[in-house]
Amino acid sequence: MENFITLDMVNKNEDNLDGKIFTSLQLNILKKRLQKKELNVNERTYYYKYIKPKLEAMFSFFNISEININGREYMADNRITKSVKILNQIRKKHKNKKIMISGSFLFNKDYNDIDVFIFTKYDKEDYKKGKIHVNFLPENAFDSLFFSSLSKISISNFSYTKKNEFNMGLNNILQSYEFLINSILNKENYQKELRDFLLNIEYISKGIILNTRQLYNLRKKVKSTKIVSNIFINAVILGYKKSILGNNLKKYIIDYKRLLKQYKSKNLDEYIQTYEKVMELAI
Amino acid sequence: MQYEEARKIIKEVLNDVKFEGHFNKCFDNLKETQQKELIKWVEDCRDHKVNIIQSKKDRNLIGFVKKFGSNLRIILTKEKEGYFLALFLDKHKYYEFEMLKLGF
Repeated sequence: MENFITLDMVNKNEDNLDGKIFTSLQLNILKKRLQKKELNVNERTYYYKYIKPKLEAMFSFFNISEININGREYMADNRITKSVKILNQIRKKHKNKKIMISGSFLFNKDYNDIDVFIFTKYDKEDYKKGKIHVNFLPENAFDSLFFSSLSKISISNFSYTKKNEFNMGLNNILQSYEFLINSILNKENYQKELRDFLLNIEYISKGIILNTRQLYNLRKKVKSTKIVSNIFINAVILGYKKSILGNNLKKYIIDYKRLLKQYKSKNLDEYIQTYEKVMELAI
Repeated sequence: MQYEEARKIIKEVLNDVKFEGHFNKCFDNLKETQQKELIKWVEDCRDHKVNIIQSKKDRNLIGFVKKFGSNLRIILTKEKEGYFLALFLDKHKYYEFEMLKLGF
């Protein structure tokens, strides 16, 4: 609940709050909590018994209940309030569902869609209503790298524990690289493939989980197969042992050279060149 | 064009291929130009004019993929040294599951 208010808001409105809604002691405890300072036993009792219920009562005027905000520092002005309104609207339609708002709407002045994610046990058809794009995801998505990235800048009606460690084999990376190159060469919209590729590659090479804003900014800079292939080469060299790279890439180079004799497939040329470069540099 | 006719034409091009995903419904919802584009693409796959991808789960399996508009996706699978196996047409969400399943 305290995700929705800041220390600055309390300081600015102290005259209205002190003695009218909270006692001075209660206000000081609230400030301490907002500064993420540790509360002693008495302060914790005060907080849960008197302060939190008052906050909940105040927020109920605005139809706000459990709200979890992550990455507030990256969010653009007014987007938190707008997102909470959207969240509450969607909540009426999808009762008791775990709902999250994420994507460029939260941090960018210009945006195409407002991405809303609903986590369900049963598969449902995604839909669009105006600018709001509702995506249904299975609950096992909570354990994915995608969710860990998505939730870094997000507003949701539920709390969760993010997974920070992922097991990502070389084949997963090859798939995401090959698929991206293929989409670029086919002159298709490759933004989703690029997002998955950058997310995976940054994680395997540096152990970093990019947030949606970092991904958005990186995506704008990557516009050719040459850049993608260079990113791939550096990342797999940093991310995998020589033996794993050697055994796997050698196998695929042989396969792709054979296939090239039958198919005039430009993407295979690109894969072969890239994998040979990795072999040359790493082994 | 109705899906029945499209299936007939595609079977003539690729022989005994299976139709997977929500092929009938998705095909009927395509614009006429997109339907023609799909048939032409199938012919190009047969004529080795389309980029191929190889499965990471089964090295004898290759595939051809294409996006139709923002939501529809198509996958054509083939044995490396053999026949065409299946033509999958569906919305992008189901396509992603299928791609993972096939190892592409």
